[in-house]
Amino acid sequence: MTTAVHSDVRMLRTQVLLILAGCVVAIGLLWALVLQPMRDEERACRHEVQDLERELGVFQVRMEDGDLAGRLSSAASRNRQLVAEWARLRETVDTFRDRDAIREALPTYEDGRIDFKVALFDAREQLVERAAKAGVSLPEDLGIPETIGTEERAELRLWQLAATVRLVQLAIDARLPAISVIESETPVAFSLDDDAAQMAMEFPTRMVLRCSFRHLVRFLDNLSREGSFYALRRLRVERLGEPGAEMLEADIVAGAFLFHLNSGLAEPGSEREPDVPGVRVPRTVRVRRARLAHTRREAPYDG
Amino acid sequence: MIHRETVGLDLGSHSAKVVRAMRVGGRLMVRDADWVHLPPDMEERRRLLAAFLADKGYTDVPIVLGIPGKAMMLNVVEVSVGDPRTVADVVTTEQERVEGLTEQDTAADHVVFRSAGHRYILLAMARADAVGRAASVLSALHEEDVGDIVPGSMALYRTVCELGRRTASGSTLCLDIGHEGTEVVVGRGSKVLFSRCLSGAPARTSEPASEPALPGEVAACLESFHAAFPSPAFTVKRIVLSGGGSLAAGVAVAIESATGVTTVMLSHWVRKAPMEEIERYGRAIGLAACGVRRGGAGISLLPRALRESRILRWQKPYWLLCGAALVGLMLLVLLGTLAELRWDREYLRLRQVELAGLHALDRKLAVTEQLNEALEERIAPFRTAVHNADVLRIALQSIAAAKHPDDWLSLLADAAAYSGVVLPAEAPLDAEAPDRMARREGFRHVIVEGYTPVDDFSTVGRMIELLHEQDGVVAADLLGDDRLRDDPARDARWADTGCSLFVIEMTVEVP
Repeated sequence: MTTAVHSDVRMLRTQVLLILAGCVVAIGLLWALVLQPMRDEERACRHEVQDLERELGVFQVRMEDGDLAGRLSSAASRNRQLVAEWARLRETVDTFRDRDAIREALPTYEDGRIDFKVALFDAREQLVERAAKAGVSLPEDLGIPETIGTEERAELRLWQLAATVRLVQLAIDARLPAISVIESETPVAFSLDDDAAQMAMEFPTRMVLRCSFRHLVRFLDNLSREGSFYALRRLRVERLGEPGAEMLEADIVAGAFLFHLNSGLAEPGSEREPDVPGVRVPRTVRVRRARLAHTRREAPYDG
Repeated sequence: MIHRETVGLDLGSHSAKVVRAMRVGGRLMVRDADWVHLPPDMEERRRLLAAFLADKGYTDVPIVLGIPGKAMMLNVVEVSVGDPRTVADVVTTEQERVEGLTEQDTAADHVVFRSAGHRYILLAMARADAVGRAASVLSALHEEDVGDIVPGSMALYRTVCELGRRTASGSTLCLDIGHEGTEVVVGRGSKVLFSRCLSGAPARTSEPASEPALPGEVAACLESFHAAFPSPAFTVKRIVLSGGGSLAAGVAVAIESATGVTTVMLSHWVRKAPMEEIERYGRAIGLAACGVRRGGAGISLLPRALRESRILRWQKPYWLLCGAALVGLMLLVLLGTLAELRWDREYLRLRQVELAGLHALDRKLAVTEQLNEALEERIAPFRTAVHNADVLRIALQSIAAAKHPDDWLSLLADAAAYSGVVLPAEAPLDAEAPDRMARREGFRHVIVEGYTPVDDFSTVGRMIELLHEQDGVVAADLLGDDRLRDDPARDARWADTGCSLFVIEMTVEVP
């Protein structure tokens, strides 16, 4: 009886101890394997939230001048305005609207040098003939050298010739009495997109004219018309002779714009496009292009 | 340990009485009572008793067994104020004293209580073999819950106390008159103060009040009690008779006449008798009441191992419950943490989305602004080209409107042309040459050179005033001497006219 009772007590003690131990082990395991990792994750999560809040705080400070959406909307609106203005400007200032017809008549690269000389000669002959008919005095040459360097492109020189011929023709049409100087200045290139795949060229021509004020105004009117637009870059009009004399001497520089040029007219130093001697690329264009290329690498536009 | 329901088992010499009782709302409720005749053979008695209890359906109910008075001793020791001994010391001393006198091992238990302003220790000591027998009976009847073992005399007093009338003062003496002897127990309130087992011959129902020894012994006990508790607060005010022997005629009268104390039968003492001849079940009712007792632990003579077993068995479900509750609490904490973590994750995700949106907006804004800047750069020379023509037109119209008829204009030029700035053909490509500046910025300043015959330049002043009034002309003033061009040929031509040279610089903006 006593042994049985003692055995029963031992068993009951063991059971109670097992219950306690099981409870402690279960709680310990839950603590170590579940609760602690969850708390670690929660702590990490809160740290991450704090970092995010810090970053968001920076945006909040930036948004004190206006929220990003509003600024983006303004920028987008400005972008639309600029695009519309650009389309309008292109339409207005394009001197060579018939460029496709001219381009078809342009010579190939191999025989371009000879063709240029022929074209220059023909142009001069035609202008002299037209000037004679209109009673306009022309200088000895058109201010375009006949020789082409080995590194120069005949196509470019032909466009330059075309720009000069058109300008002289406009002067003849305005019945200006005399053109004393004609000089083709160095063309200037403008990139029309970020990577200069598309370029516009300005072919400036300097002319010194002798005419009355009325003739001059008519000539300037012709220059600002669509289809025969020349950008007036410099103007200097001086009265000749004694007071009361009607004759003026006008020294002007006017540039013809040619769009849709690409291959071969990129800026110097470009990997894709060869250098084109005799073409100036404004420094602002090169700086902008380099900055855009850098920005494109650093922060791609994800839309 | 307190049970909701117990069975009090009063084992007599010839019979066993059982009472099943429970406590409802603090009051003892007797649900059932019965008795069975027991044979002399011990093994047969146990078998019969087990069958009887099984037949009554008491096998699942804990059984409380009483130790007869002859096998135990109840001592009440007063602990006076300032006594340096602890309760354990008193108990140990008393137990050693009794064991020394009887030369027998004892099982003891005690309770400390206060009565009439005095502090007492009630020490119950039972012969170890008697307790062992009782424990083996319990173990044989119940394997799981063995119930309890308490002094039989205390059980009787509990019956008198719980079922009897409420007494305001004084002590109550209870007599349990059985076949093998008579037990006397005196108590005050709910506390037992005195107990004796009388050695006189037992009373027999067939011999009504023929034993002259019992009243005398009761009277002697009474004197003994009063000697031990002389305070008037402990004076015995009533005697309650119980046990089968008390049912004999004339017993109560004889005892009352011998002691001079009011003597009543238990059936007359209780407020409402739960059964017929309650005197036969007085002790069994008390035993059941001890199992479902209230007001804290009482005396228990259950052997230590058995008691521990009983306690552990009782505690086990609570330990299980406690463990499950702790694990549940832990799970609750886990759930809370998980919910918090999920909330944090969701909040983090939302903030990430917000930040990503802001970054995307920022990038989009930067790209759009770069596009605009690029467009501005692209448009600038072409815009200037158109702008120059407009500026020239405004300038010519303004000059025509403002020039005095007496004045002569000799030169009109844009500012760069007037200054004679010419881009050298061999200028380096990266130079910010003036003509490129002019391409980007265009005409803004127009220079007008002329001669006036008026010495005080009043006509020129008037011309400047009129120029200011023209649309598009934002400024007009004489050019500073430091910027005048030097032209001897011009000066020679105009030298004889007597006119004075003037140069006006106009600032034009296209509206």
